[in-house]
Amino acid sequence: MPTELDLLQGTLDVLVLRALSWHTMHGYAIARFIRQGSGERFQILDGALYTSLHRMEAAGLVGSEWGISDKGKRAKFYRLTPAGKRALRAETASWEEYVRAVTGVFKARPEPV
Amino acid sequence: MTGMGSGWRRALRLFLRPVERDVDDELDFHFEQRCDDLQATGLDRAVALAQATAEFGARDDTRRGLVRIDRTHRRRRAVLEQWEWLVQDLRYVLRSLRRSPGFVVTVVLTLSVGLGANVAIYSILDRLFLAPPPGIPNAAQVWRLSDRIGSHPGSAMSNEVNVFSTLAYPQLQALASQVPGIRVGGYHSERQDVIAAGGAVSSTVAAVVGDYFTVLGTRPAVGRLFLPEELRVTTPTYVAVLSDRAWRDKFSARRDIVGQPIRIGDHPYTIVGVTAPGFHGADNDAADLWVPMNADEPMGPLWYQGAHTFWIKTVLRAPIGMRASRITAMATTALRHDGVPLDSASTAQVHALAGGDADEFVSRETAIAARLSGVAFILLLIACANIANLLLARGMHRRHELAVRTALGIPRRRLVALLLCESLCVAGGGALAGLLVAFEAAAVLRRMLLPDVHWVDSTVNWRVLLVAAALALITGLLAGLVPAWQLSRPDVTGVLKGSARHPASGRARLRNMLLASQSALSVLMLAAAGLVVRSLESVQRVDTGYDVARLVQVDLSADAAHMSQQPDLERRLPDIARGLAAVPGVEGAAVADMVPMGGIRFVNWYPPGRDTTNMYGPEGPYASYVGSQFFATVGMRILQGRGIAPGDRDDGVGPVVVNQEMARQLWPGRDPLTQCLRLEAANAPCRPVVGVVSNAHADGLIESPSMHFYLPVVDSAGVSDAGVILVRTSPQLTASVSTAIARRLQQAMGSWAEVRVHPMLQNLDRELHPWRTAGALFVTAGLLALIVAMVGVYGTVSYTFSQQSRDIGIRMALGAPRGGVLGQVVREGVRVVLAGALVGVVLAMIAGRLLRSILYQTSPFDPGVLLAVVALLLCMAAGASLLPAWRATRVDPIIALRAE
Repeated sequence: MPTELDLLQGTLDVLVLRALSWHTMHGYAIARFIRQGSGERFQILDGALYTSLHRMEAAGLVGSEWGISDKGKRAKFYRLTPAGKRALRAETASWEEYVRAVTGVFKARPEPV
Repeated sequence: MTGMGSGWRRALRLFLRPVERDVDDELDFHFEQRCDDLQATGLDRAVALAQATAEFGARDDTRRGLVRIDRTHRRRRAVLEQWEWLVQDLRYVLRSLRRSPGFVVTVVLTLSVGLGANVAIYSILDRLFLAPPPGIPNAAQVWRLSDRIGSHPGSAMSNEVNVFSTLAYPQLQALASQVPGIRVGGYHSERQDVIAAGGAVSSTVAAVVGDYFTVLGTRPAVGRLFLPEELRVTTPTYVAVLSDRAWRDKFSARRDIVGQPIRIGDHPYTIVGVTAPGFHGADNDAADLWVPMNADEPMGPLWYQGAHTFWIKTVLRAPIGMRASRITAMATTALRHDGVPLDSASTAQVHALAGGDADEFVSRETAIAARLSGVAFILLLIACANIANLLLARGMHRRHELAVRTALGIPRRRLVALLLCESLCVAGGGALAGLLVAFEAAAVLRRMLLPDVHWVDSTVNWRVLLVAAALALITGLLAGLVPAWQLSRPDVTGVLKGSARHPASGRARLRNMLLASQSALSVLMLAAAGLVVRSLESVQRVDTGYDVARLVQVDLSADAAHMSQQPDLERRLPDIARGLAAVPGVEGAAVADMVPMGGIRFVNWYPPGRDTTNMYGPEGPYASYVGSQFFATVGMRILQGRGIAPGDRDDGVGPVVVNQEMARQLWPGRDPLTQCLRLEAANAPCRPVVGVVSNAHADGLIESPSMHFYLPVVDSAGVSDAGVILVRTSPQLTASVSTAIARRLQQAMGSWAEVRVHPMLQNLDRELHPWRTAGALFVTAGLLALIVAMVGVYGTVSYTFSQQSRDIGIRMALGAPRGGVLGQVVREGVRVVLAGALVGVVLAMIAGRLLRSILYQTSPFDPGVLLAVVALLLCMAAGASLLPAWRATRVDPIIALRAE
């Protein structure tokens, strides 16, 4: 039974941007990507995912257009805009920094006083 | 038409698709996919749907949220897109304009003339009519007062009404004491030499009286203004107040200015203060310094008693809210009770300070300036029509490109916006160039129209800039809107297939209409110019009654150090005049109290048997004191009896000579030589009329015959009271004789005497000046209009040819004579111009009456002028269309045919 992890607000945005950094995807594909990428451990509500997508579209981080899915259905495809790519790079850098810092603390032993 | 715009309709459809539909489609797709995936793992459809719903969360809330986000986003994007379009359009327009510099230069030049002329004339009118002089707080409460004198109801004279902007001092006193609540001030400005440490400077000196500074509300920046005791009229006080500008320009703004001595004319003065910055008096003609009127006595030592000496300009400040009509009523009452003989015909008149003083307001120069504004506006209209035509022609060359854009799905309103953007761009360029033109033109206009006004402020202020911007905007819209509307509807299929060789007939009609209206307005302008020139000719032909061309005026005065000798010098004038007869080229010399047309003088008169109450005023009778030989010298004819003889004396019983007009009015059908006149007092002895002379002008170039009588200049004691010598020279010799007389007199008199000799024609130059200026300005405007209109004709005809080169080629190839082909197209252009010109003639006949006030003895419906103007326009139009026509027929038919 996989452990369910709560996602911090804002982390979802980064995951969506990361998903779109591969190629354009429709909303459902992004949901599937995150679900599988986290080994089904992230239990996100799909509604929140769409809210994030639309919000980022309004902010100009992602763009969208209607196209045909691989199963031949009309679907709304999202892509990363240049501004979105910049945001993703910045978020990735600060995430890695954070991880390095936390890992450092975990591995450190107290020095004798 | 059906094929066009399917692209943009699709774009529109997508754009108008409700946000909700998109959101629903997206969410439906999500659920469908999720259910499919879950079913693929073996789940039942219903279970799969339940799980997908659980995974999604509150679907309705989410949907509402998404719709809200999308709606805001779409609205923001629409606004943003407008801006992007604008930037794109601008970029496109600038790029395409850079590719056609010839078009840009033509349009900017045309517009700079049209806009420049308007801005320049506006800057003059702004100063004359709209803005009060600077530095006067609450200027709306300040009024100028003038005296409107109509003829007495019973008088035989014309119904002319004259407005005098100057009052006599007793009238001023009456106003101040009898009209409650108002403050009254008076002033009299003259140019005088002011001598300070740095040398003599010609300055405008205003002598002031009453509450002048209080009325105008200025305060001292340095020192003080005049004290009440300094302004008391009976005791001269020699103190002066400087304007801020004069203080800075002529005294380097020195702080210790108070107490500095200066000389004005013959008197030493002490500076007591400087006015607040900006203030330069009540007139556009800026004052440099002010002195109390008591010290300055141009009207003689007892000037404040002179009830007939109208020389003080009057300003008054009324309490807030007091209406002009009430001030007028009260002031009229005061004027009619001050004991001046003209009283019962007097009516006070008040003018706003902003309108310029009454002289400026009614002067010919101002009337010309006002008419010129109309002319400038018409010039702008012609420029607009021309630019509209150029834009249309340019658009025709680009119709392929426009058709492609339309086919690509660009909405029509965007095309219109694009084309308007272009015309606004060139209008903006024209406005900038026009401002440069206006700066210069306004300065030139000020010098030409109002040369005596000492202007201190800049020609262009923010109001003027605002007007320029507004005019540019109007021009851009006016010139661009119609072509933009027309061009944004290209015949897409036709153009793209290459079959649309001839423009839609509607467009050709539009171009012809523009050309015709240009012709009409040009005729209007040229007709105005022709009338003004006609009137200038009439003015130059005016017979003043004197042989002005052969007269030389001689003034003698003692210099400042020998003022005591002045009366003696004046007594000697008749002797000096007799001496001048010996100078070669001199045919005669005589003395008089004043130079003819140099001023007017009234003497109370009482012809027996007539009620003379108020029988003098603007139409005379005027009086002159002249020496013997005066009439022969100045070229007036003696019609009956004799002139003034050497032995005649002004001794109370001596002879009087009257002019023809006076004899006609007073004694119709009777022998004037049997009549007599009582002068100065009703019970004085009746002086015999000994002669009748021809009429001559009393005050200037333009006047109708007025009554005039002449008295001997020598008084009962045998002493001459003359002020000037007039010399008659042989024809064509006035200039050389002037020089000879000046040299001879200066030698005879010694260096203490100031001798001024000049041909009398120079006196009339100032009066001729406004007529000449009007002629020059109207002709310039007319020619500019003609040039602009001809550019229009040339452009239209060349365009027609470029469109028809194929037809012409075929006809030439078939052996049509060049002349015939040429003639046909030229006839076409000339026909349009002629139609416009005929409309212009009608317009000119309607508008002519507006010019009446600046014309002299010229009918506004002069058929000669109108005919000449139409003929000129037609010749120019034929020339302007022959040039491109000739060029077109020179083309080898083969080339013309291949070109298509």
